[in-house]
Amino acid sequence: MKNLKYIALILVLLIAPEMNAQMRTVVSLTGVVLDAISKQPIGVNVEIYDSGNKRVQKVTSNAKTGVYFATSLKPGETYEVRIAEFNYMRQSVVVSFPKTDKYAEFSRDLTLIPKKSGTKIELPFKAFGLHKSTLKFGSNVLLQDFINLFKGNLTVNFKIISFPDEIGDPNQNMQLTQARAESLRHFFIDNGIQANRISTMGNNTTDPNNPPPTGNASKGKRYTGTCYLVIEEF
Amino acid sequence: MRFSTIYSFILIAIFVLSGSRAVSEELNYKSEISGKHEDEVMAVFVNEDDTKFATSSLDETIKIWSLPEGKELRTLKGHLGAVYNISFSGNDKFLASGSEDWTVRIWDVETGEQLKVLQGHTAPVIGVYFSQDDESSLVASTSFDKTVKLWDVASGTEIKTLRGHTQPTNNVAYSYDGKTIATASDDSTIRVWSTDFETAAPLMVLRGHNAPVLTVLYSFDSKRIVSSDSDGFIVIWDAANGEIMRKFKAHTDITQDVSFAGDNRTILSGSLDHHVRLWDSDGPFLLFDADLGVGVWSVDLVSDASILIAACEDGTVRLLRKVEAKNSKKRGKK
Repeated sequence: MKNLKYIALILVLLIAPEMNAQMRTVVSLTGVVLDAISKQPIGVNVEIYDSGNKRVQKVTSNAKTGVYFATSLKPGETYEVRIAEFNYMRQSVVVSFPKTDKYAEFSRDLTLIPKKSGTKIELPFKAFGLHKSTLKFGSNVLLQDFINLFKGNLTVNFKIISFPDEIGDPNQNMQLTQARAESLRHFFIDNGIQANRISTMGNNTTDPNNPPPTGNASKGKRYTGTCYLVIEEF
Repeated sequence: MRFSTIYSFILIAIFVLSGSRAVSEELNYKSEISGKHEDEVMAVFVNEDDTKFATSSLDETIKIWSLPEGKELRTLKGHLGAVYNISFSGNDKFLASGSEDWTVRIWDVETGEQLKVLQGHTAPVIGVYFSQDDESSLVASTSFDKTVKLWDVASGTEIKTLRGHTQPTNNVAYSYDGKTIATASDDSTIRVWSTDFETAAPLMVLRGHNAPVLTVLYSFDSKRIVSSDSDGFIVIWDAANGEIMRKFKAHTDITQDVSFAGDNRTILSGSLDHHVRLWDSDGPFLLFDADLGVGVWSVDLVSDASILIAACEDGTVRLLRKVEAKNSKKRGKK
């Protein structure tokens, strides 16, 4: 019995410093905050919440460089980074830090969407296949960011605008792009966005701001028509 | 005078004949189409033990193929845009892919399961490269957003973001000693960065290309870096000090990819000029040249250089098998 106590004591002495080191270790989060449309750096308040929804950090990004820096965060923990700025949509991202027993700086860049009527957000991925109007498998994962965005900004209404894949029959193009916009609208409604907040628009000509590439510019590219979410009212 | 002229002619003749004999007798490959994607094939990568290779395409898929057979094993779907680049992990268990959909994804090579979707870039991801150590815990990525990101694969966390390129970054390579990564950019430079968690500034900026640099790669001893550009030039750099060792015009069109052989000297290049070429970079001497009749976006080769693989503009994946070899000891990997 006495021996067991000694063994336990030795084990505690051996393990304790390591546990202590891990408990004392802090990590930092840094990155830049950019306007999603202009890509220019912006100065905003960046708040960090722990898994218990308690705010643990509030820092401000540098208006000239967009750089923010939050420290005293714990390795192995998951945090939510929230930004609530008057001229921008409320946005948040979740960051999980790996376990480490020495100081480390992790990074996460943040792009904020201006809360301004007429702001056009291009879908950053191809939600539809060539000439198709059903959402591609896997779209739901990347559209989740937009669901969160619109759920976090309940006063914002938006329009879905779709453009065709090629210069072709105007009637067919209009039919295709209206069907695509409706597919997206139904996806958002199915995921809890109120129907009256979403309107749709198709087009019979290709996107003038992002036309199909031709000649050398088309090398290594596969074009499908663009889709935009346009903020209408707030 | 006359004697020296004759002597010079004899020397030149010996040089030319010995050179052409090396090309025609030692290296000869036969091309075959192994399979096809539904659109242009943008990248090819051979795994560490030469049992598999992967290809990625504008058709938004990744295919895994067996070696030496060249048989298609599985197709990985999940990206929502062209898959521009791929990389096997050093332990061959995982595959990383970078896509037009702004994501880096991690796949289980054996099951084809998508393990992680890494989101953080704010533009299409053009380059990915797994760390080549046994743990394969890190992935580096480059993007049109001009940044270079280092990711912890297990947690999916960005370890650090490296800034400095002034134009979109095109491709990235991990050194085999794990200490540095190199990135190629439209700004015509290559930047070498430390992989430690603290250093954010580039260790070196390599200037020598006069056009967008499309790819960059370390030799297996991490002593050399090779890069290619959109004018068809290849540059060999001393990785220790960033000095140019060789620079030569390799192709007449965009040279999107190069691959080092295990002798750290032989280089495979592929270009939209339809040619696949094998070079002895110490000359440089052209060792082998094949006109595939179609633009080549990417190339890689197996350890003993008995199979060269070309990812082509017409969607085909072509294998060039060595049909005549003389004591070749070349070992190659991307």
